[in-house]
Amino acid sequence: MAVLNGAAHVADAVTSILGQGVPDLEVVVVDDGSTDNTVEVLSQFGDHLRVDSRPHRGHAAALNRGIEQARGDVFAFLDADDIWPAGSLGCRLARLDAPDQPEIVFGRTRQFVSPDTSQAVRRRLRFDPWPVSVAFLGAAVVRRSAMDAVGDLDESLTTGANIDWMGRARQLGCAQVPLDDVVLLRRLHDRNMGRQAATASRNGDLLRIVRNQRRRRAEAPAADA
Amino acid sequence: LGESIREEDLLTTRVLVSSWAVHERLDDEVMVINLESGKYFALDGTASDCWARIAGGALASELVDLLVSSYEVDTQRATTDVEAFLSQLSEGGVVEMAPAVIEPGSPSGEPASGRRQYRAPTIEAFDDLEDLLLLDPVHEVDEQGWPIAGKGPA
Repeated sequence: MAVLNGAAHVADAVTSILGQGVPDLEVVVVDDGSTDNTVEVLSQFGDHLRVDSRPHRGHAAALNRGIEQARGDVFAFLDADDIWPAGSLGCRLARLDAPDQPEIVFGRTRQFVSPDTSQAVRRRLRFDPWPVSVAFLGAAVVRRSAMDAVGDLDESLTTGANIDWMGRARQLGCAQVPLDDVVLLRRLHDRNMGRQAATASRNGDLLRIVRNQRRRRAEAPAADA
Repeated sequence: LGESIREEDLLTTRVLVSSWAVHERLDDEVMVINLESGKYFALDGTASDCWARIAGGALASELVDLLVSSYEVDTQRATTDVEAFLSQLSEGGVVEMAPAVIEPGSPSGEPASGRRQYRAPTIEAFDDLEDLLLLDPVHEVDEQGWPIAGKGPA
């Protein structure tokens, strides 16, 4: 997990991870230079997780640092403002262990409006309230072999590095299996709402992602055929 | 309005970039994302030239003029190709057509010398990131309920 000034919601996120009841879980939280009391909030979980505080370098860099530190065979990711419902990790890991041995398994995501969201923002928000099948990193489990093959998240992207990563995984032909179970609750709140400048920056990143995706396809036309 | 346009309507059709579309031109390549469908499109060559004109606001007939003046193509062929091109863009949901009032008397300019070799404008469509682009970002709307997709990065 990567967190930046996430004191308001990170305890919910961590609690949802620790409540998964999965043995041998290694929880690595990379604090990306928070200036609020995120680290203090995290300290209440004691040695159930490892917190690595470092100067701010961005979300993708923080995730890469976490990937580098994790020792397990399977990776899962949760944004610091999102929640895994009970059984989320268990059903994904069970599918990963099925005889066809997929490299990536992802479940459905349900978006919810955070209780602390202002009325003004609520009024302007349109989103799909039904569980959607999207290969978010937060809804996925990824084998180490796939992580090694696809490589790091692109740290030059401000947002959308997870989209880029999943796009590369698809181009490499990593087998991705969707589940019908809801495995991720995605919190919509004031801070993840795109203000105008943030929207422009995010659109710029999305355009770069699709451009790179197209170029890679042109260079290796048969890779994802 | 109509998804496809007939030849006789071409002169009086204005082409607008859809409010769901974000787009960017780099060198000779334009990428367009439809944030409502999650599909994205690549436009090269003549298509990229036409898009530049559409992004600045254009009549369909101006796209024909552009092709005829810059490329080795006659008006009839260019008209047919522009129609097909606009149909593709419209099906992709990245442009909208609106009727336009035309001002009389701006005939196509004479073909310039040194025109480039012509290839019909066409778009390449991709859906491999459909789910990811569709849901991310969360759509934000203004007070009237219109999407705030922006017009690409500044």
